[in-house]
Amino acid sequence: MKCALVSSDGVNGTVAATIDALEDIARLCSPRVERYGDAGIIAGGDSGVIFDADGLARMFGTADHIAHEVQRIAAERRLALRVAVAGATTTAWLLAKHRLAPVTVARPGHDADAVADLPVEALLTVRDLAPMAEDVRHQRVARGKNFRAAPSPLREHNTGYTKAHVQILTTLSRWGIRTLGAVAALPRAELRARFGDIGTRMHEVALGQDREPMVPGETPRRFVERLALEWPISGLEPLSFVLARLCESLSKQLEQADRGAVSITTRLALVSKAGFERTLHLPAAMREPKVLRTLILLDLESHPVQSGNGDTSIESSGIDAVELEVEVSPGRIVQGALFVRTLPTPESLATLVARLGALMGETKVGAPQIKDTSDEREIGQERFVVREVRGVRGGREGGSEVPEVREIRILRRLRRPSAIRMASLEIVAKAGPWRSSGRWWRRDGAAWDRDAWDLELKDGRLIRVSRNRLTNNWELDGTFD
Amino acid sequence: MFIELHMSSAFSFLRGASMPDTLITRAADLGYPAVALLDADGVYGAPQFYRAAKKAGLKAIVGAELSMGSVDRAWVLPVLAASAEGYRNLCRTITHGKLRSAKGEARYTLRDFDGRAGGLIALAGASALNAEQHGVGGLIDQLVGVFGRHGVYIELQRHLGRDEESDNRALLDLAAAFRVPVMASNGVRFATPADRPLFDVLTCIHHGVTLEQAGRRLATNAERYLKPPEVMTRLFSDLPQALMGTEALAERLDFTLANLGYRFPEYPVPAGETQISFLRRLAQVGARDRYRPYHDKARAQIDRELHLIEKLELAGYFLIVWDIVNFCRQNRILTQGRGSAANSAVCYALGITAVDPVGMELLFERFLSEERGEWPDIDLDLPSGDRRERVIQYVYERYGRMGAAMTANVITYRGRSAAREVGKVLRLDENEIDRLARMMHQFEWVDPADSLTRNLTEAGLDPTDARFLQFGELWKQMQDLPRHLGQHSGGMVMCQGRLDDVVPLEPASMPGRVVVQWDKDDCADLGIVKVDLLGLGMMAALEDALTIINTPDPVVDLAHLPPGDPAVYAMLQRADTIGVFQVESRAQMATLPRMKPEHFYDIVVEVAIIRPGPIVGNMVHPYLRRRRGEEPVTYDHPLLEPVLKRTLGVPLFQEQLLRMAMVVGGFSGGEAEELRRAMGFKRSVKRMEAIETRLRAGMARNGITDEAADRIVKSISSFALYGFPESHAASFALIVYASAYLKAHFPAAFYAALLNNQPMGFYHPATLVKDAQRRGVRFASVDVTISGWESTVQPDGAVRLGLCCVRGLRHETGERIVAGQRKSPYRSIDDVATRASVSREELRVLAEIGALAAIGGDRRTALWQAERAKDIALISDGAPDLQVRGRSPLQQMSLLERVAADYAGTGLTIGPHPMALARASLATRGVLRAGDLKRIRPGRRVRVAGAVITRQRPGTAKGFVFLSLEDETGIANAIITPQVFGEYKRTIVDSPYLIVEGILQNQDGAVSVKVDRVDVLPHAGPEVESHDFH
Repeated sequence: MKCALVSSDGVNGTVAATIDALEDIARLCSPRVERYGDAGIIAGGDSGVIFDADGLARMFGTADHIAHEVQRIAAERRLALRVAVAGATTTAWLLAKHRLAPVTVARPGHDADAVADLPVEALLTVRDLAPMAEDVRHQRVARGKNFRAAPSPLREHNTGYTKAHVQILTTLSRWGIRTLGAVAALPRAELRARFGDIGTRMHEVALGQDREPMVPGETPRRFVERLALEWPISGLEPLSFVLARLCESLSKQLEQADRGAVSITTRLALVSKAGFERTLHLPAAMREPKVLRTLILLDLESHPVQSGNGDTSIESSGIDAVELEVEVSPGRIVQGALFVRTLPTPESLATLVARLGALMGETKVGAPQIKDTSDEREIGQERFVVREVRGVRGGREGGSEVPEVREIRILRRLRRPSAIRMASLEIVAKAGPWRSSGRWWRRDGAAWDRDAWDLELKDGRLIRVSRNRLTNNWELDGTFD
Repeated sequence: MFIELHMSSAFSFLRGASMPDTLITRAADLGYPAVALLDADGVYGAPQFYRAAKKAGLKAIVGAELSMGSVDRAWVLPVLAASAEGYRNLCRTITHGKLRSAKGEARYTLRDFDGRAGGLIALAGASALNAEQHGVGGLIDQLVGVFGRHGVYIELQRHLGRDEESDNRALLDLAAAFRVPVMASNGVRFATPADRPLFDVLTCIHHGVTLEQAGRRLATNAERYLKPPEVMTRLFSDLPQALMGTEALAERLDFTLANLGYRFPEYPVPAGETQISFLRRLAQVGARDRYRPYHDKARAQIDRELHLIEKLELAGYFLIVWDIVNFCRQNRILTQGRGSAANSAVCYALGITAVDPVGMELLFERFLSEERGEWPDIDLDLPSGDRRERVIQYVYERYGRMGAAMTANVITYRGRSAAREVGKVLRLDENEIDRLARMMHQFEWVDPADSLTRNLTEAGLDPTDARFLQFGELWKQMQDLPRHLGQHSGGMVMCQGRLDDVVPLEPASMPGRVVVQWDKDDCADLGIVKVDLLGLGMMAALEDALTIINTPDPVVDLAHLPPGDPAVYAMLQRADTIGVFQVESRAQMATLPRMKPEHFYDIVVEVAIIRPGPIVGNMVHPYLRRRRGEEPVTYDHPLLEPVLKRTLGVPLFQEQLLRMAMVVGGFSGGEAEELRRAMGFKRSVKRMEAIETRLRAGMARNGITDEAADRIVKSISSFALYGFPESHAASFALIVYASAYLKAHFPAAFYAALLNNQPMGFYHPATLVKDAQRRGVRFASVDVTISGWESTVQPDGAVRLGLCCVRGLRHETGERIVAGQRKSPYRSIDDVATRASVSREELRVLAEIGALAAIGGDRRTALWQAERAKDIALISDGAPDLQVRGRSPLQQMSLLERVAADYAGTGLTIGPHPMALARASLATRGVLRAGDLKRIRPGRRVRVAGAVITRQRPGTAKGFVFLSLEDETGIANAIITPQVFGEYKRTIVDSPYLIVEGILQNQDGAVSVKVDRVDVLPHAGPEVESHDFH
């Protein structure tokens, strides 16, 4: 006996349950839980969760009781879902997915009857049928002189079905087969002869038969370390010792599981009863405890504690407990090369960038980014990464000639151009105007229309100014080094 | 003075945002004495540019921007034609590149100019810096080598871009190094800075991106407009040599399209004959055959025409058209000249036209006159499809691939296409784009109260949303901009020598066709002679019907149909004209019972009268009233009586206008034609005033003055806009009579032929079949064991539907099925599948429509078998013991399912009409059948329902909408007022089946319902295709 849980639209203050929430509820009822859906489901979109309800009678009672227990738990959590219990996984899924009632229970041994009136389109929401449908030979009729395709009862762009799905459903429609009951009434061998394995599977589904046993998923492992302190601590220095201990422990766990941290969430319980949480995303999967500790500390340094009651520093607000949780990905395997220049490791680079960020401000560290716009003022910044440049030899890069540059003038561009009084400038020489305009279609002030000038001033400075042609105001864009 | 020698128009297809005439208007306003148009890879816009420039008194210089290099290293070479030789070379080079590439993908190299560089000036600009071969210096060296030192200019442009100056420095260094002159230009892409948004939108369409995604593909600023000379002078004040270069260059460019050098081909006449002597001989022989006896009146007319033809040196043109007609005759291809050619007795004698202009007293001057100074226009109607293609290919063979080509048809952005493109570029969501596209021009008629705000509100969109207002503005600007080049349906141009010396040629998407870069109006304006070889579905249908009727024994000869056949006129009088040429539309059918045609000339009038012109000109009702004797026949002056007597004093035809001017004003035929043109659609106040003065003077000489003269002038000037050529109407009337004759006497053959030539005519095949069934024609369904590719008439008189009716069945498959039938009868579905190589999808459709019934049982059984037919056939190699046999486990199709399957698979059914299946429930709701309406007293309130087969909102009907609702008994006409339409717009437009309610009207047998309530008839049946005129 299987029980399927599918999220539904929230009513009466409840909200649609996420897949994680469904799994949580399922695991409260049974240890054998399987996520159903994911990539395989193409029509209807959402996925659900199935749990093995065999043997739960002693805990909850009949199938009906089990389903209602699930609904009770969901109601407690203010989550909206539909539950169905049936003999087969597929039947339970179909009933939960396509019946609108919050609870549907198939009579034992009558799975086929329970789904008989469902429309044939429901077949394509069954996990293993959707990808199988992709393999159906799809015959295309070449466009000849007389070509005029017969209209299909289903329109691909409206339903989200692929051409293969449309073909199966069109054939069934031409046969006058509208429900799963009608599919069940067809001889399986004949269906197989016409659709191949998908024909057999459709028939199995219509009869409420599973092809494969349930494969319960593992309980997802969390990598969390927490330390409740005997006495509160204040300041980053004592915190660093605590973090070192937690990071060591986490690092060991990660090593055992062959995982690396891709993000670290630091949670601090403050004496003031307020909580503080900060998540740091790492540039590569890593588990070196010292690096992790350093990065956390630098991050906390550049993002002071902001508790709810106005305390703004760890120095002034004692910490009662520290918790670290990491999100993981498979461990990183690094293969060096004999003839390639050694690059800084992601760990040392991340540390350096974090140090710079703490020093300068996080938004002020990065690599310049070329933006696809003619607006010279639009400056992009992206995460700094080290890229290996191959084959750089005396002025040639990547096979093309690098032009000789006699003189480079570096423009120090202001982040926010400042207003300037042109009358106050003593101009020696000028170049311009360089006119640019764009985003005329935007109504949010993003449109621009400017004339830019490069000016040499009497005091020797070289500056770039521009005149906003929409407002006629002059602004200083930057100065040349 | 600076002269702009580098402009691109919208004919650069998405690389320019202004039309050539807009650029010229702006250039004239700015005081330019000359300007040059260089469109991308062609001279598409050159005729319009030349025309506008001529009118504005400017010199229009021709050139083109050629796409050079490879796709990833592309650069552009602007080239100007300095002389006639240069223009010829330009056309040849473009043609060479176009014909060797796929449509729209031409790329050129400098080698393409080998031997074709004379008279051309190449402009090397910043784009040439992108050319990779041999570096830039090497390229300039090559250009100088190809075009000569005096044939290359270094082009400098300044659009206030920061990076441009370094390019210009490099170009100046190159100019000094190679000692070539420099010239300035602005590389104009649009007329004024205000056109920049539209240019950006076109750029986005070109690259398939939205405005937000376009980034640096968009223009940096709005500087690529046609700038005043003084602004350009200021801009290049540091480079006076570049400014002077433009003036010097413009002086050297003395070629304009006025010196095109086109010559019409000469017909190869037998030794000892001249063109005119041969034509004269052919005309006399033909006349003796046509006129029996060859009476003096005809002889005199033909002599007069030949005299004029000789004087105008047009004999070659007539001979060439005769040659085409002769080819058709020899190959048994039905052909008939249409249009004003039917006014010519020489055309009649040569067999080009079928109407006797002498007998019908048609006016030759409408066709040809000395004063007009332009080529006459002869259009030939041919059976559409393969037979017309054979004639086109004959012309290519006769005049060579470079001597003849189709005229182009410039496809422009219109309501829906513009809405979709602008919507996508502005990143509106799909749903909004759909709604906007539907909203833009749903019907021909546009409500004067229509505003963007109102339309947006109706479409359920927020009229205050700035995005939609922006959309509206750009959509409006985009109207009628060229989108791409298609080919005209039948216009062919020919040339003595090479046509690609005159205009570039390029491949059409249809294999074996070549098109010129100009459309038919451009060709006509530049004096290039065109012969229209127009495909007419009805000609093909008539030919097919005659083949069916005359097999095995000849029964009917189209050239000798009995005139005045009572059955034909009876049928016309009761508007039983579905399928009949020209008089089958709703409006024609509404007029026929009031017109009650009794003679051939009545058909001529009927063809001409239901046109926008006569309707708007209020000629229809006076004519019909006079015809019924409800209004006296009067004339503005007694002199006009002989001219207007045939049309009861109401001027209907253009020829009558000409005669009126000749009779009352003493005009010659040519002068009268000049008057018609002056007062036609392209009116010129100056020309009109001059000609009116002459007309009044002429009338005064005939004693017509004061009020009478005013009345006649008013009548002529208003009528000139709307008149229809009598000769054209007469040519069409012949086809009307022939098709009506066949419908009346050989309905099975007639309908079979109509079905074989779809799409054609006003009605879908489903309606034709139902009409035929009401006339007692029996139909047999498509059957793979019997049906041919085309529908045929069986010995028992029933029409056997052909395989061509099956949607999705390839022609080749159909032919293989038919070939298989001839070898041995099909034994099973597998047999059909293997022997005729029918794909599974084709088998499915055949099974679904019952075409496999003879070998596969009922439709569902056949579908069941078809689904695995090929697999079995592969295993069994067609052996009968392994073939799929027996009934399927599927339920048989119900009647409604069969009808739906018929519509899905063939677009028609020979079973009951879907409305018949809903009749019982409709009857309980008091819904009448279309056939019942004739028996109901007018003025009564009625309710009628049916499948909507036409929705019309003609431009002449002041917002009224006309629906044709078909049921099992016929067609009911519904008239919907603008108010009611406003109320039920979505229902009327979207629902395939409707119930309408209103007051019954019956005007002399023309029955209609004036609707005040419209309801959806849900699930009445399968979707029936509707003929909606948008």
